[in-house]
Amino acid sequence: MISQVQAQPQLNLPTTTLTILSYVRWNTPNPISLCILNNSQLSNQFIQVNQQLKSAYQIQAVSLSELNKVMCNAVFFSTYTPREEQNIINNLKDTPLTFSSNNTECELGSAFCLYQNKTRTSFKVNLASLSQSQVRVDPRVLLLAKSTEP
Amino acid sequence: MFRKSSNTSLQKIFSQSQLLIFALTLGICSLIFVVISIYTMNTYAKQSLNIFSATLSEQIQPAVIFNDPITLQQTLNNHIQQYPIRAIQVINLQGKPLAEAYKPTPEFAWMENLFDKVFFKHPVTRTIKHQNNQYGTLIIYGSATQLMSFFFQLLICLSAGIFIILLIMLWLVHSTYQKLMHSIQPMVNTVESLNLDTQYQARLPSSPIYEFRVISGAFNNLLDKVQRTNEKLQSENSQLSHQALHDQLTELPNRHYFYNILFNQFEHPEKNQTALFFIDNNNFKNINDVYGHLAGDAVLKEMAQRLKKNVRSHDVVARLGGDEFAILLRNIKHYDHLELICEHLIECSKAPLSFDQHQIHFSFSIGVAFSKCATTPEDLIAEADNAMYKAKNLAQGWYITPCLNPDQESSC
Repeated sequence: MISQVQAQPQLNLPTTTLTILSYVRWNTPNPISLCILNNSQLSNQFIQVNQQLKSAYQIQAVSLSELNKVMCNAVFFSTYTPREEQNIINNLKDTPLTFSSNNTECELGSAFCLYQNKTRTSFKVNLASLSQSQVRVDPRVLLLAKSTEP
Repeated sequence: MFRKSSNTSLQKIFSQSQLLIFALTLGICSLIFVVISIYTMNTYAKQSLNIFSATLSEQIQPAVIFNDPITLQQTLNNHIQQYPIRAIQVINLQGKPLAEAYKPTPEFAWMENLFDKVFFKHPVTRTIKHQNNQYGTLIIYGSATQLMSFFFQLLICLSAGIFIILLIMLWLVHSTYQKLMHSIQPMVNTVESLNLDTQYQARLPSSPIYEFRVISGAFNNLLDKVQRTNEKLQSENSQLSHQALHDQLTELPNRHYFYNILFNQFEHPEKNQTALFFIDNNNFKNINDVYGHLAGDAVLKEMAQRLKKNVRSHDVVARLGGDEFAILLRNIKHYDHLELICEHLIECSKAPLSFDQHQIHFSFSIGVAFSKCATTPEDLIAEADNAMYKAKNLAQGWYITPCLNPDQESSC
């Protein structure tokens, strides 16, 4: 059972990402692997949060060259521009669900674009990209996505 | 006791008993109905509140998890307007409110507060969790607005029903009363008419209502008895009075009765045309001595019959006692007629009476007085008596008292 006294999870980059993943209905069997592209520090954070949340995601730190070789259900970009992200996605043989922490407009590239708000991490959704990934995301989560920042 | 019940009418009793039955029935039925319907409504309201809270907690779950108070607040605001909810609160695990929504205070706040307190005292709480993790709590305070409006509708419908039933009941009481009175009134009329009718001939009419028929029957039986008793009494009375006024042997009026008639006659205007005949048997003592008392009685009877036969039916023949008879002749137009009548009567006594193989001869003397010549009945009687004694010494056997007044017609 869930312990009654539980810390409210801090909504940082990994937490938000993993929470969004929890609202995705996957077509493939478990476990779901999340590949962190070219960012080992972020990868470590993800692994930590994954343990904290007791979720069963397989976190992998991968380089661009490895990307087509390993099995990735989701890919996290943090070091590329939206255009570069789009190119990488176009060249992939699979259609993973893509996240980015470096894409404030969210008009190209990743499906989910995370950005740091004043107090927490919020996200935007690129619906064209999301439809390409061929996974179903809970619409309640999509409603929480910010269209454009005022 | 009579005074106490004198103000009560049948209609009042009907109304009261009907009202009591009506109030009891309606009260109990309404109470049961209200309790059941409120219980059912309450159960449904709580169920729907539970369903609602489950749905809402699912809907707001991502917003709570992603800590999006704006979306949360919007969702809560939408829901509180659409559904019968007093307040919604979402708190995080630390108990800090993430979002709250309240319904504006209604018009009948005190009443709604009362209903809320009775039916939705405890809020529905639901933990918001996702994938084994807990994120917050949803607290929903139900509102009794709909219950209250249901309750008021119920009250209005019940009142309308009560009003209609009351009208029907009053009409029923009235018609029942009318129906009863329709049966009672003829009975009352009959009894009242019996009060005036000493012959007890009236009978209570039959009624379509069984109980009244029984009463009528019993009363009519009583009336039959009373009537029979009354008739018997009357016939006995008349028999007694006949005996008191008549002579037993000859069945003629006796002295007392005859004098009554005579005195009455004197008070009437036609008294002047009345003549009084006193008749006395001449040899009655002798007949008694020779033939015995039975023969005497037979002679008296024969005399009575012959006298009666030889006067008109409206003339009164009486036996004054012993062998004395009297006749009151009315409507004597002429003084002369009296002589003819005397002759005629003397003539009728001439035939002998056959009694016990004996031929009994008898005769009588007649004294006559004409009322026109007398001032009082006593005078008339005295004159007739005197005339009779005079007649005893006359061969013709009768004597008519002449009138003393000069203007009267002279006697023979």
